[in-house]
Amino acid sequence: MSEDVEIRVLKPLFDLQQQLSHIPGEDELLMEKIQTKDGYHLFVYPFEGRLVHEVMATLLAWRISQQHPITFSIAMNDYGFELLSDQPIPIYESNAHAFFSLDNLNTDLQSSVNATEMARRKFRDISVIAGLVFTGYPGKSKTNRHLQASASLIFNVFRDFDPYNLLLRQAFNEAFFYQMEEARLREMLERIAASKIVITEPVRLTPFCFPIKVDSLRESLTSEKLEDRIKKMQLQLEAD
Amino acid sequence: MIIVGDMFHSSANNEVQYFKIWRRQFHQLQFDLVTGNHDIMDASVYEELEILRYDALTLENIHFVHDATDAAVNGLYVLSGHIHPGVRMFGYGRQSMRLPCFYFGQQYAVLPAFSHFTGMYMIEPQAGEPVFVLADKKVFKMQ
Repeated sequence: MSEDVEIRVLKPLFDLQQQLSHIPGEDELLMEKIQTKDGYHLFVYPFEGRLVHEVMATLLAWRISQQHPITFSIAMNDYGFELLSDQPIPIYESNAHAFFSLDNLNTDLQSSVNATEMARRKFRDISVIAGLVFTGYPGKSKTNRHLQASASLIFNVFRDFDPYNLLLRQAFNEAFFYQMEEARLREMLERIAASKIVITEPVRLTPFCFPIKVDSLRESLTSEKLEDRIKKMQLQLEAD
Repeated sequence: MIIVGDMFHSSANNEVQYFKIWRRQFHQLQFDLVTGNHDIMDASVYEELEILRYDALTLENIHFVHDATDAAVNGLYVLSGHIHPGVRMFGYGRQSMRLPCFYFGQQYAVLPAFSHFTGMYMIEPQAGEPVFVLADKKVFKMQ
């Protein structure tokens, strides 16, 4: 195996990962806690694919946020996910298994979907199909970002004034059922329950975490009061 | 009471009727409307609502106008509306938020406006210019 070109090329990266942190075995779940100028990061590597990671990340963020007020920025890729916060994330080897418990799974999943933007993103496609937003002329279509902005305004109006609107409900249903892949999630949680959780605190970014950290497509989840968040923030000033 | 424009959204609607009922209780209050691009109803409607209309108003050293870009620069401080101003704020942990605001620049100020369908025009204030953001029915001074 060590003769494979891929392995030979990647060997220095694996060595660096091992030296800075750890390479998880099949019966282990690796978590890395790293502090950078962006804040406090928690990286988790379940190797289960992007969709499952998205759900799993929001579930973990939701469960942690229920213990005390905290705000997370969430990113993920095919082999892991990241929770980033402005305060230390209270997860340790002693309580980690509890956060991945199967108890109250359905209720917690439902709450975490409601607490994030997942339904809002589903609503983009729904509003396009329903003809609520204009997608542009042939050859000059609007960008996804533009469509998301338009769909978002309609989403807010439905949410505030017509909460039982069928298109709005459809968005929540899709976020919940299609994205969730509940069976896979359960399987993974069962696997984690049987594995050893390894938490490392690398002094700098590791090869595993880097691609996740630079991902800009992020979710956010908060249990802090808006007022408290504003007090910690600064204005974006005119660039000179 | 001075309004810097866009008092009602264009043509006669329910809001006009609600306002008419409310207005009856306060005849003593003077309403001065500096007309904006949405103030397009027939003159008789404003007459009935006891609203006086102006293109612009000057009170001592303050000049009231709907759109600050239309204001003549004559040493007066301009108080305006029109653009639905908002600011972006950021915090540790890659947090960011956009909120409606009051903006007080060197030459002019912009009052906030709220609408579900318009979004906000993001302004980038300079250091030191007073900005007050609105959230949770409260006002916060940001600088």
